[in-house]
Amino acid sequence: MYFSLATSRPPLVYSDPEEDTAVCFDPDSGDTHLLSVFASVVLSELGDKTLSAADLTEALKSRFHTASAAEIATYTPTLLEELSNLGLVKIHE
Amino acid sequence: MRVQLLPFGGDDNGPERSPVLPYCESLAVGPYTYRIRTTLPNVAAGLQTLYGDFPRTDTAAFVDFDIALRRHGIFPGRRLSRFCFDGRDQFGPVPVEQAYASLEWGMNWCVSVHCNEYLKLHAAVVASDAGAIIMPGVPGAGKSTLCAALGLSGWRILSDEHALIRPGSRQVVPLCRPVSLKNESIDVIRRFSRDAVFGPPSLDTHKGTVQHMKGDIHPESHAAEPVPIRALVFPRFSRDEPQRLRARPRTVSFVLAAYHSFNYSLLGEAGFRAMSHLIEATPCFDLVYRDLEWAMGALERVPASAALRQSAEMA
Repeated sequence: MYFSLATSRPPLVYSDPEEDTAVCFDPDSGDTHLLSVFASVVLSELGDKTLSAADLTEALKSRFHTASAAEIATYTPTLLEELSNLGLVKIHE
Repeated sequence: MRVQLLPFGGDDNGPERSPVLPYCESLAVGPYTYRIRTTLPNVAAGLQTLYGDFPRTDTAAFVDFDIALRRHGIFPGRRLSRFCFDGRDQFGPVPVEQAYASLEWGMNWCVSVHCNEYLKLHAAVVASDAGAIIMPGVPGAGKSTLCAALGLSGWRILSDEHALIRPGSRQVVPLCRPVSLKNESIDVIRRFSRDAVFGPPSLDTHKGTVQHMKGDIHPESHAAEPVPIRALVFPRFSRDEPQRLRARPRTVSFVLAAYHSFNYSLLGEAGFRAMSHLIEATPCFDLVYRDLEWAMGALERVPASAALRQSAEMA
């Protein structure tokens, strides 16, 4: 299973380095979402690429040293599904 | 937005019945001009009390908002009025005793649904020498009561309803008008200061009793220059909780401020960029209070935004 951005342009993100949430603007729907920093990193990593859950898990592991690799590996599929439900990520079967 | 003066006094379906014009003025309110006409004595009296010190403009000149408060209906026993914008009834009839509140709400509506050159937050805005504090909040949060008390204590009231922020700036454009107080807040402010000047009460409205306090009570109330923003404070009146002023995350504040905006969604990407620019340099706080004096002291201690600190260092 692979993943890419579902939006026509990358979402706009506002974040603060001292906070664990980020604000994401969907340029297609005009919706604004409050996301975890994990989610904003996933959107940033996807960019114009199509990546697997394993690719994204590795990217998250390299960015978040405080979370365990096992936690990230467990969390990433759920996160991708939630981003898909918000219309931000497209799932390629 | 009409330029010419319209026939006044009759309704849209009949001849003019009331040629008497107890009140017809064009008022400069912040960056906008309202022409207000009414034959209703209680509304005229309220306008004279609460807008007596507002700058006037030529009543025949262009105005942004052309408003008339007219008596409605032909039955003398039914004392109704209606709020007309550009000659059209906007909200349906209301009892004459509530006409003054309907005028103020209509004036709010004019800015809320137009004026999208600004990012507009539903907020009270006050300023001291240290800059402007924007206080967004839902109705009943206590922002107007706090705004009135601050105004009566030497702060400058920039608005009781709208924070107007030009996208790309971190300044708020003054839009000083009377402060809308409801129910217990009216007596709270009467007890707080004998200097408070009130307009006519509007009884039994959908918000209860509403009465407006004169808002232009600072020497610079009608100055037009935008004021640098010092902080975003989300106030909440609570009898039961401990009083506190606590920093809140910027990202969460961003979403809450967007929720309190009249046009964030309408502005789309420009709204997101405007809010990002504002929030990234503005400290954000939650204020829970039950005591006005305590709340005012807490606001005095709010630190300045990064932009304000930089400008002070440069000066």
